[in-house]
Amino acid sequence: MTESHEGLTSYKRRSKFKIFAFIFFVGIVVLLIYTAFSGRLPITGNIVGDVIVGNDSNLIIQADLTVPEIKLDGDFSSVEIEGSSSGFLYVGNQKVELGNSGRNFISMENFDGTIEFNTAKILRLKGRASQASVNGIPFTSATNKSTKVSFNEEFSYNSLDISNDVHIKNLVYLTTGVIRLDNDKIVLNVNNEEINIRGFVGSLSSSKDKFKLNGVLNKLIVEGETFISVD
Amino acid sequence: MFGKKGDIFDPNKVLRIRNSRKIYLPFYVMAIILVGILVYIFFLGLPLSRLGLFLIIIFIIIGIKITEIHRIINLYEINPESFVHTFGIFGKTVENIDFLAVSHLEVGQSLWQRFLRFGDVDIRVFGRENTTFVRNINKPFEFVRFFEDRVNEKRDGKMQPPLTHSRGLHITRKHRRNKR
Repeated sequence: MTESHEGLTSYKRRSKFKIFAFIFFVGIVVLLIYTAFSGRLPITGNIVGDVIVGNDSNLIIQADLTVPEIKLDGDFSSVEIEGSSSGFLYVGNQKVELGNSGRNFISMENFDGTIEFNTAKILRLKGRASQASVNGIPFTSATNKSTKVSFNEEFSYNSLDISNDVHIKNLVYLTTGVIRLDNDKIVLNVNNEEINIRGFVGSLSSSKDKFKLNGVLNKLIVEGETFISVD
Repeated sequence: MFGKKGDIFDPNKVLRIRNSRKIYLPFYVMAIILVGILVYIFFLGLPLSRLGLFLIIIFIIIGIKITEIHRIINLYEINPESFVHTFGIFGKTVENIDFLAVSHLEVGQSLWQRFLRFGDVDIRVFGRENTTFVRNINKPFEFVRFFEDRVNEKRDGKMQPPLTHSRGLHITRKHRRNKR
């Protein structure tokens, strides 16, 4: 390469490209780590994660609210879903077609993974379960160990029940409904107000605009016409 | 080292050499780190950003494309008669330097290049102004020895006494930063 080819301009251009590539790399790493360990970005939804249970200050909660868009990660003893889809449920190597029946009932035991849903659809379900059944037909892995379970596309559900060990670190959304605390000692009627549920552990069900929580929580904040904080 | 089967520095063959892929090592390391993070997130069952996954794929694909395109821009060839530098992909510039015109060879290696055993070679034709740069090639010293042997062979063919390092063709080892 001659001196003219190896000019200062070319050198500066290469340096700029290297800096750009490195910044791009750092950006991707930060994005991956942030989304993996801190939940989702604020623009995409709520933040959920692990909580510390066994705190004496836990409040018993039964709530009947509107459905948020939420993502749950964890190990749940039971997951039951009723709904329809034109797609498939993958159970290990098996591909269970869901389009044949207008109404499918899916049951999973000891599900460990991710469930993401909104009012109408299960946006993502991916994890492992010790046993899965579709419309009463059980599907188990040949090795009798937990097997991979996932939907290939969004699933329109009528009802979703997740029993036990649902952990919600922090859920903030605008909702309407009734929240009962400490066995009806405190009853809050929420009308299009922002609630903040912190440290919830328990069971959860969702069906047609009804989002029911049954368990304990560390703190509840309601921000509407009046500000209420219970912990 | 020379003359071995499969050795690129075979005196019976025309040597064709391109830039070393070692210069792209930082990119490869970055790509491996990203894939490692991806695998780690996947096995822990943590939420994986779709945007992040998309950006990783883009980063790796574009990175490989750019590095490979950058690599094939330069082709260095030593044939029995001359040294040929071909520059470009679609439009090409071919520079042909006769061995008899070469007066000086200079090898430059930064610490990084020494560590990874690649470097730069400057081929001078009667003065510093007329220098052809052979950038980032593997085994630069072997390249220079091979070059020197071909020069000597050509000069021997013209009934001239064989060259040594101290006579005719000068070889200098120099730190890369000192050249600029």
